[in-house]
Amino acid sequence: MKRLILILLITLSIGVVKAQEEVELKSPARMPSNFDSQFHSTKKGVKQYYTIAWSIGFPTSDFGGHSNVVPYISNTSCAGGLLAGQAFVLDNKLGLGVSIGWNNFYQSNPRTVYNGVDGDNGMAITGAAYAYMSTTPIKFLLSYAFAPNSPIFNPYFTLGMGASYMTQHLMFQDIDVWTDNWGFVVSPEIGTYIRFGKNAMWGANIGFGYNYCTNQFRLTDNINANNIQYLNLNIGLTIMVN
Amino acid sequence: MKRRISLIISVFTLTIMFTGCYNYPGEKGTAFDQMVSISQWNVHYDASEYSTYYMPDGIYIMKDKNDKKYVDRTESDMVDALLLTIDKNMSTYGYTKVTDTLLADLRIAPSYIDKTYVSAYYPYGYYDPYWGYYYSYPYYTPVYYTSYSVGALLFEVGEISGKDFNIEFRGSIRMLLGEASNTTSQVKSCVNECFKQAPILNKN
Repeated sequence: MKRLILILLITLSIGVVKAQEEVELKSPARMPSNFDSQFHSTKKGVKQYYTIAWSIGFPTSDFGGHSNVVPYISNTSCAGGLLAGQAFVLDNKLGLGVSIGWNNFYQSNPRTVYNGVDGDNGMAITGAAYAYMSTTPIKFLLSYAFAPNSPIFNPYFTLGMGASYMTQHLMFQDIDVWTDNWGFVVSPEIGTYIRFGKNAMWGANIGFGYNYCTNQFRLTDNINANNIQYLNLNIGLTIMVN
Repeated sequence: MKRRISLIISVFTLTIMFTGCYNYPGEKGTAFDQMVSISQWNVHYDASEYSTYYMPDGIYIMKDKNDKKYVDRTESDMVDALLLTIDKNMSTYGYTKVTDTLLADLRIAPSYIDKTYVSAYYPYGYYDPYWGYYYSYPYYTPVYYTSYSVGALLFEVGEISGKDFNIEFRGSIRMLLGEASNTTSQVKSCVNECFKQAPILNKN
């Protein structure tokens, strides 16, 4: 009998707690101000962040060209994006995840002489060139969240490492001088998640990162590089789920 | 209303993410900005072995393999300017023009080829209007030819060996189709650029 009463009490108490959670979650206006932090601090499990972002790329140099003599690309690129997913563990402070991004840099260059177009064979081109470079970094992410239980802001630091696929083009009318290559990429990033309201599932993500890629390429005598470096500003939308 | 605004913002953002604000070749600039001067040469060419050349007094304009027309320099100011400029550059580089093809060390084949012909037969080999079908020497290049509405003005310098025309130098000018788009002075500038880019031709 005692055992039966004990089982009933346990069952009831679980039911009350569950019901209380549901009521409180459905009516956030009734929550005490410190409820969220209490709730999250006691909540165990993995929190997942999925982000889709617009990525703006800023070259740190001329991407292997020589700006004043034989330019390649030094313009900021607005054509870029990022898809990322992370799972946060250890009280939601440590994040592990993956991301794939892309940035398409381009620049119209004035009429210039390009020597050594064909490497060891003899070829030179004079013309106004349309320079184009696309980057596709695929990275593993390791993040540290500074305020994982904050109802609004959750700043973070992320270190991304992985592979970087790039194509470089120099287009003159119907002629496309191009190459493609793979490299290793390291990219530290700082940023923050901003919830759209207290404890909202949806939020914004703003991040600023630096990318160092070991991609090497050669298009002409004066357009070649042993590495590619650029900065990223990512502005996006994040869904945070438990 | 809110949903419609969100949709517009989403479409706008996705468009920028994928395309940015691109310009592609040929979309802006003057006709001269669209002209491209290309020089390709045999890196083993030895200028000291050649001193005379022959060039016809006209060019072939080819629309496709079976549609070609010979235009004499007296019929077109553009053709005349092209041939004069080639002569001037060859002379500057130390070559002497001869009128007998058998006495010439080198022969020059000028022609104008439109995009259809280019995409079908160039650069692997094509029918030469002067000396028959031949294959040019191979180019191991990362250069690919796509289909834009441009033509190619070619002048190839080479020597006859049996049935082959061995190209030592090829000057190629990509230009917009339609002669009205390109002035004579622009064509002359491009021919000069082609020679300037290949100092290997210089005998001096």
